[in-house]
Order: sequence, then structure tokens, then C-alpha cells
Amino acid sequence: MENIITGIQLATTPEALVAILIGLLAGQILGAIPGLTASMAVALLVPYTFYLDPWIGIPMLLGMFKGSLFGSSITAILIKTPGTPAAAATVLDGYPLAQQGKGVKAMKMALYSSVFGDTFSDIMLIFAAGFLASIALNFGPPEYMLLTGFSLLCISSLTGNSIWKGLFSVFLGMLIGMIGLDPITATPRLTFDYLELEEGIGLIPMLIGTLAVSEALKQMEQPVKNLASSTLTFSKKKVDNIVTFLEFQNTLPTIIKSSSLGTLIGAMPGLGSTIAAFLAYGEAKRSSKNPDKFGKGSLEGIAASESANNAVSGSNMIPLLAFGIPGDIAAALIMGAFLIQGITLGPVVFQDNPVEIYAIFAALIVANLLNLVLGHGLIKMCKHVVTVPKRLLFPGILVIASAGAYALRGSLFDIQLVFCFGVLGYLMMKCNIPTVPMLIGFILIPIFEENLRITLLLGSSHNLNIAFIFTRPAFVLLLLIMTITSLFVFKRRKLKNLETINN
Amino acid sequence: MIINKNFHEKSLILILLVITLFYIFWIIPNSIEDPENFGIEDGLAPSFSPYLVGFFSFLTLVFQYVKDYFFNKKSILPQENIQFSKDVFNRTIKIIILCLLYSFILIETLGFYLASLIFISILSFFLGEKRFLILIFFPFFLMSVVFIAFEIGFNIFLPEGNIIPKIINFL
Repeated sequence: MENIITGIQLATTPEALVAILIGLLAGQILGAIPGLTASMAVALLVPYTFYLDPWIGIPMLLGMFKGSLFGSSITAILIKTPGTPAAAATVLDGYPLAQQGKGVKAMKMALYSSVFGDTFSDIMLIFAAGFLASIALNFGPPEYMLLTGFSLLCISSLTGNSIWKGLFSVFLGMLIGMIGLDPITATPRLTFDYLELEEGIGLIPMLIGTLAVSEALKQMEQPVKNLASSTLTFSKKKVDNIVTFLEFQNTLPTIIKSSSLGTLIGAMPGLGSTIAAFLAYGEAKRSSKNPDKFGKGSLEGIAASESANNAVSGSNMIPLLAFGIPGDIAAALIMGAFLIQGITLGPVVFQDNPVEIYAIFAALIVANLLNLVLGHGLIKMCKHVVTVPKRLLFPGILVIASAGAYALRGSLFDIQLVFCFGVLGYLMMKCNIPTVPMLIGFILIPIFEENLRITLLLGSSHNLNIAFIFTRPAFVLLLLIMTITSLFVFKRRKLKNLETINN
Repeated sequence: MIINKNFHEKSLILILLVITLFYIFWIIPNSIEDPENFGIEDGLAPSFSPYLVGFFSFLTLVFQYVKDYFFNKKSILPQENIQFSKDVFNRTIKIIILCLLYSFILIETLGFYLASLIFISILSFFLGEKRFLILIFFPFFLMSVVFIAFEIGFNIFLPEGNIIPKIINFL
């Protein structure tokens, strides 16, 4: 108990609170710039933490991480440009809602669900770090393969009107994801000896191109007189600018479910917040009473993706704190900052540095509360940015998107990719082929392929008998859950098709 | 011009089928060389996954084409028909050409800032902005913000281009 109190005191000193505030503010602004990911925001700050007192540097780092996750959803909602890949799923409902004049409502929903998801996962981190980490550690390559394969199928069947278009989009994303060096033999694949392609296609240029540039191209087709106005207008009705208690209450089951899903995914090293957001979105749509509203400005859709992607931020500290295994790049960077300060994370950290651990827990919770307050300020500020006329805003977006794409790898090729993917996304939009499954296919293919190949290698060590996967309890349990879920999905889809035909 | 959804879908599937077959029979064999003596005990060959995805893609398209051909003779919903306008097409082609010119030629030769100034001005003008001062000052303002954020704030130096350094060296 004494350790807990000392920890809380350490995290709530005026210096620590100011540090969290600065971190949050910087994170929110950085997160809102397309191309600058949460990991990049943290990476930019890590070197400076060395010169700061540990209890100024670490809270600032945590604040920055949380702030950047929310900041990225602002641009996703207002200009269909996710600041980070994790906010890509927020675009699906956030942007349509903003187009209806309810941008402020969408941003507030994103803020509340972000903070809820964050706090939920932090509480889980505090109380269930060991337990969740032990579940995640039971997942080996066969389980990861199954999980990612199932996600690919789910996303392709749930996005868009036709299953075949969703599937084709996923396959296209998978093919693009395979460009580069083979992960096991390092043989170039689909590169045609073009050196730039050997590094593979970057996620950021692909995301920015497919989502932002394609949308800008679509908007710029409008007659000149329409482009003189701003992209969005904000409704003056009070109800369109707030999230009512009833609305929040209605989305609460989705938020809780998505936060739990995000927490679970965050606890598994390597999956990350983008996958969590899309999975939660798919699950929310599947289980919603109004699945037709998804993609047209559903509050549930925003709540699902935002609570899930933020829930990852707390839970990816679970393997980090419990086993010293960082869940993603941002967690690895935070681990680096701890190492700079002389704290080695892992199973013994709870015995060796209990005060520091409780201080981190307290700092995480305080950062969430301050994020809520600062978020409202950011919403007010960003509202004015989109009042610029479209004929100036879209060229501006294209240029900022190019700068953001260049920033990550310093490659001119990435800027060219942004526009190539923009044209591809535009053509897909014109053919009614959803682009989101392509992005998911692209994100998941490395994880899926690597685990498929490791599983088959494991099979070869079992006398080429792949059936060994059915001797793994975690695999069988996951397979069972997924089969039941699939049956529900297809039954629901069949009912929906029947309804459409009857109408 | 209004295109029937079912006609559009069948044509689209045929086009995608041709692309998929081209991918399976030309792109993969010509761009992936599996290592020699790569046996099953070594795991999967590098070309396995691309072939697998290509095969599934082919299967999906064939299945849908057969389904459309035999079962969906008409569009189910009239709003699913596609509206195609020649004006929009011409306009978008011009914008796309300008974007590709900017990303493939202008940035590399003139550098990011100068290329972006020109790009924003031309594109805004094309989109209907005729006020000269806005066409000059808006790109300058935006580029100043980008410069401050990227070069001063994050130490990220955007492309300089080929021509400007040459001119500076020459001078």
C-alpha cells in the first residue's frame, strides 16, 4: 500500500502533471499530421527524455503516446485523412457523420470512446497484467495464423455490398503486401529488380494515398462553383454538437466490447492498434442492431474503432511490464526510455521497482483524464481549419500528405506511391470496390504469411503432419469460437439479402 | 450516361480476370525466382503465397461471373446503376496528370517547396480560384507552416531537387 501511495505521489507532482500536459498537447498535434504515427511521435521525444528527470520524461512520453492516438482521429473525421494508421477505421463513419454537419459530435464521440478505451485497458493492465499476458503467451504461430486468416475473411465479407468485391480487395492488398523481400529466404518478390520495391510498400503512403488522395480526387471532380465553399459545414443545432447521455449509453456496450477486444489484441505482441480498430469495427457491425447505418455515420462505428485502438495503448504495456516483451514499436520505444532511466522492465520489475510501476499506472490514468480536457480544446481549434474553401484545402491536403509520406522513410518514392495509390483508390471507389479490405489485407499479410510458414515448418518437424495444430487447445478453442461467429455472420447476411429482395 | 449495374459488374469481373491471369502467368514467373533445391522440408517457396492469393482471386472472380451470368440478369436496385459523365472524366484525368507530374517530375527537379508552390497555385487556379493574391499567398503560407513543422520542429528535411543546388553551385 505504501508503494502505491508513493507511486501516485510521484506521478501527480506539479512537474509531472505539466509534463503530461505538454506530452498530450504535442502528441495531439503530431498525431493530427498525416504520416506522423504514434510511434514516430514517441521516437521523436525519446532522446530528450535522457536529459529530463525520469518523472518528467516518462509521464511526458506516456502523454504523448496517448495524445497522438486521439489527435489522429480528428483529421480522420474532418478531412478523411487518418493522422496515424490506427485511425483508418474511424474514417469509415467519422467522415460521413462530419459531412452531415455533425463533425463536432463525431469528434466528441471519438474523444469519449478513446478515453474510455484507454482507461479500460489501463485498469486491465493494473489488475490483470499477469493473467492476460499468460493467455497471450499461449498463442503460437498456428493461433496467430488462424486469427489473422479469420480477420481477413471477416473484413472482406463485412465491408461493402458484395462479398466478391471485398474478397478481391483483400487479395489485392495481400499481393501489394507481398512486394519486397521474402521474409524467410530474402528472395525478391514482384519487384522486377526495382531497388525501391525491395524495401516493400510502406503502409503510410498506401494509407494516405488510398484514403486521403482518392477522396481529394473524388471531391475535386465537382463543378467549380461547388469548390468555392468549405468541405464541411457544422450544424448549429445543439444536439448535433454534443454526444447526449442516451447516445453514449446506447454505444456503451459497443465501447466495452471493443475496449475488451483492443485490450486482448494489445496484449498479443505484434498485432497492434490498426488491426484492433478494424476487428472491433467488424465485430460492432456484425453484432449491431443497425448494421446498415455503418459506413454512413454511425456513432457505434466511431466508438468501436476509437475505443479499440486506444485500448491497445494500455494493454501493449502488459507483455512489456510482465515479460519485458514490447507489444509494438511504440512500446519498444517506451521500453528504451525506461532503459535510459535505468529501469529494466520484465517479471522482476514488480519486485525491484514497485514504486515506479505504480507511478506509471497513476500517470496513465492521469494522462487519460487530461486527454479528455485537452481534447475538447483541440476539437474547437480544428473546427476552423476545415472552413477553408475546397479549392484551396484539397491542394493543401495533397501537399501535406506528400510531406507526411516522405517524413517516415525519407524516400521520394513514397511520395510517388501516395499519388499512385490515390489513383488506384479513386478507380476502386468508381467501381464500388471497397478500399478498406485492401488495407487490411496489406496490414495482415506479413503476420499471416510468416505464421503460416512457421506453422508448416512446425508441421514438417511432426513428420509432415499438419494435423498437429488440432492438438493445441488454444487453436481448437479459437477455431470453435470463429466457426460459431462465422455461422452467425452468414445467417445474418442471408436474412439481410432476403429482406432486400422482399423490399 | 447510365450504366446498368449488372452489365458493369460482369465487364468489371472480366477485366479483373484478365489482370489476374496476367498476374499468375506472367508477373509471378517473371518476378520471383525460387531458390534452387528448395524442398518441402525448407518450408514454403517464396512464390507459394503469391500463387495462392492469385489462385483464390481467380476462383472468386470466376465464381461471381458464373453467378451473375446465370442468376443476376438485372440490377436489383436502380440506385446501384453507375452514372458516368464525360466532363467529370476529362476533368479528373487532368487533375491526375497534374498530380503525377508533381510527384514524379516537379519535386525531383525543383525540390519539394518550389514544386509545391507551383502545384498548389496551378491546381487551385484549375479548381476555380481566380484571386491572384490568394494564389500567391496561400501556397507561401502553407509552405511556411510545413517548413517550420518539418525542418525546424522535427529535423526532417524535405527533398531539395536537382536544379536548385546546381544553380547555387553555379552561382
